[in-house]
Amino acid sequence: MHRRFKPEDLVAAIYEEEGFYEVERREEGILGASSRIVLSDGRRELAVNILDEDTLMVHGAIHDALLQAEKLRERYSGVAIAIPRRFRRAVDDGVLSMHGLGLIVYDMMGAEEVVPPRFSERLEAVKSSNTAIEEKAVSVEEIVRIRSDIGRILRMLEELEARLDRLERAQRTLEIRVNRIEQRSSGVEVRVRETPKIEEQVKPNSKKLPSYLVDNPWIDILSRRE
Amino acid sequence: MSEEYKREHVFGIDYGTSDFKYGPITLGEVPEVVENRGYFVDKESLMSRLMDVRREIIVGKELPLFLESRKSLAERMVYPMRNGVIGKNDRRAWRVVEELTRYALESFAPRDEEFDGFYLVASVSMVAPRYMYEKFFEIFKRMNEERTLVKAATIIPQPLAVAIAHKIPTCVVVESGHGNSQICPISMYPIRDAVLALNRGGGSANTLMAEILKDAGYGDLAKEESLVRRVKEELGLLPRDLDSAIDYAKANPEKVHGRLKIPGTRIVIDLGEHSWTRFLVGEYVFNPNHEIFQSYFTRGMPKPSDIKIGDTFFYGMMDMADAIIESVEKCPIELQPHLYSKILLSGGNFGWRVPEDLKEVAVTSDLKLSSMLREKGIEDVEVKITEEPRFSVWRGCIVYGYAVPIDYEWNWNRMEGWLYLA
Repeated sequence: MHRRFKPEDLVAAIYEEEGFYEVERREEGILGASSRIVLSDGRRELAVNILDEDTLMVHGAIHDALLQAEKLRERYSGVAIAIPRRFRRAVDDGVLSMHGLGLIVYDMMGAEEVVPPRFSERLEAVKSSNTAIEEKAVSVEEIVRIRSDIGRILRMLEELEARLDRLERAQRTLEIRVNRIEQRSSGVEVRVRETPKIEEQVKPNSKKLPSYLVDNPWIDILSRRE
Repeated sequence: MSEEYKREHVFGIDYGTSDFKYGPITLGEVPEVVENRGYFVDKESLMSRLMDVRREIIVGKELPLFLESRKSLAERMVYPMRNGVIGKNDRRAWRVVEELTRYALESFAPRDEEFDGFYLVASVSMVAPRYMYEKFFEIFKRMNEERTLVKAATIIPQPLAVAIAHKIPTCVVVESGHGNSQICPISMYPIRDAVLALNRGGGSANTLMAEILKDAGYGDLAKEESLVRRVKEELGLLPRDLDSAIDYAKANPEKVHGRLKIPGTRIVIDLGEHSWTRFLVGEYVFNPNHEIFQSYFTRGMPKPSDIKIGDTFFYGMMDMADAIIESVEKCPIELQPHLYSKILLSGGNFGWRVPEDLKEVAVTSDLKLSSMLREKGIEDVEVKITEEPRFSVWRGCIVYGYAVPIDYEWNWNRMEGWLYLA
């Protein structure tokens, strides 16, 4: 029989790949949510307050949920809320991201992490010695600054990669043109790189080369994969 | 094993939604084609006893010989790739895929001692999740149980194969099949983060055509899927601009009059005063947001919904031009003009015909999409419909296998390279 998954299962599943497993599930008596699951990867604990459609029908429910979630940040290293996909527009990603709260949306097809929760290293720090706390503590501002720096560097890398691709393409086009000019001037029957081999190997009895192999720039591009 | 051996033994397979195309490099321009389906034999039936059938599944060209009643057809015929994704636990679909793969490889495997397996390049939908790749590799490995049929294998997404076959290294491939449409920007590699999928394809246009047939008094015929598809292909039109096309149709009813005789039968379909609806069929594929479609939704025609299949989110109502723009805008800004300047339309859902006397109001898919993109402010657009779309994926597989070096091994992060199986 087809089993309909509960929102708690769908939410837990998206963190399984990151090594989190469920350590606690409460379906009653949760302030500002219909249920809560707590996941752990052995080092950090993530609490997810799950709101169902009935809960969200109550006026002000979303604000209550966010305030209650904010309170949980003192107890857990990461906190997120999960809401049905159709209520997605009721929550502003930017505000959640600024406060370090995660946002998950779900429907019957599955769950999706829209805003990742920001993990504090609090639990880990508590477990280690007090001196370690002082060494490892990093201010929130610094994390935000580093994340923005990383984002900027990644964007620059992407642009550089695209430029490099185009330069390589231009270089290859030039190489092919130079080869053609050289062939014409020397009158020697030498084709660019692979082409003679194709003719030798495709259909020994056929003199005509398949159209898709003739002058196909991909042959050069793919043969450079390493 | 040498590069020379690999080049002689490249084998391409295109696991298309309707057809299964396969064959080695030596076939030249055109692969072998069979329908992508399998028939689970009723071993108790008289036919299978008479023919001494011992197999569980029949695939390939001999399949029609084993068919029984129409009722058993629905129960026993399996089309594994209808929307490009096979469920992880869909045992019957995976059995059909395995049998088709064996059928293809054994059709061409040489018997000589020098043969040590093919270099197999398989192509699957861009939205195929990772577990499908894993399942395919397991199947390829099982091909070697009796004798070595697959030396090494790799899997590439269909849009990449299309771009390769058309010799275009930087482009956007829009693949529109029966169940859905996928938009994939490519710049030497498929840009996976920018792939976007629509939950609309040829099947959606068939649904609308069936509604139109019902309105025109052919409710009984609207249940026959193959007939509806045929009427859509013969009578469906893609309007340059829907409102103007409807005005034109109402002012010139004789020019737009839709009538079709089904050869070999007594059936004649005449849309009569409903002939203007011919323009709705094409428009629906490109933009289902026009208010005119609301009346169909209100009367119960299913609205294309947003769904999630595997790891991919499929948008239901997003228009085709918006989808392309959203996909391209996920790519680096410098690359975007290059992508807009080469948009390749692939798949049977783009084959809209333009009757000579309706050129004023009806257009082909490339012209429609160009004008939709220009309306949204995209300049320097070049949209092209692929040539011989049926074979281009297989051709791309052959070029890929021919060119990629033998020491470029499979890597799950970049999803490329050869996985050695023997």
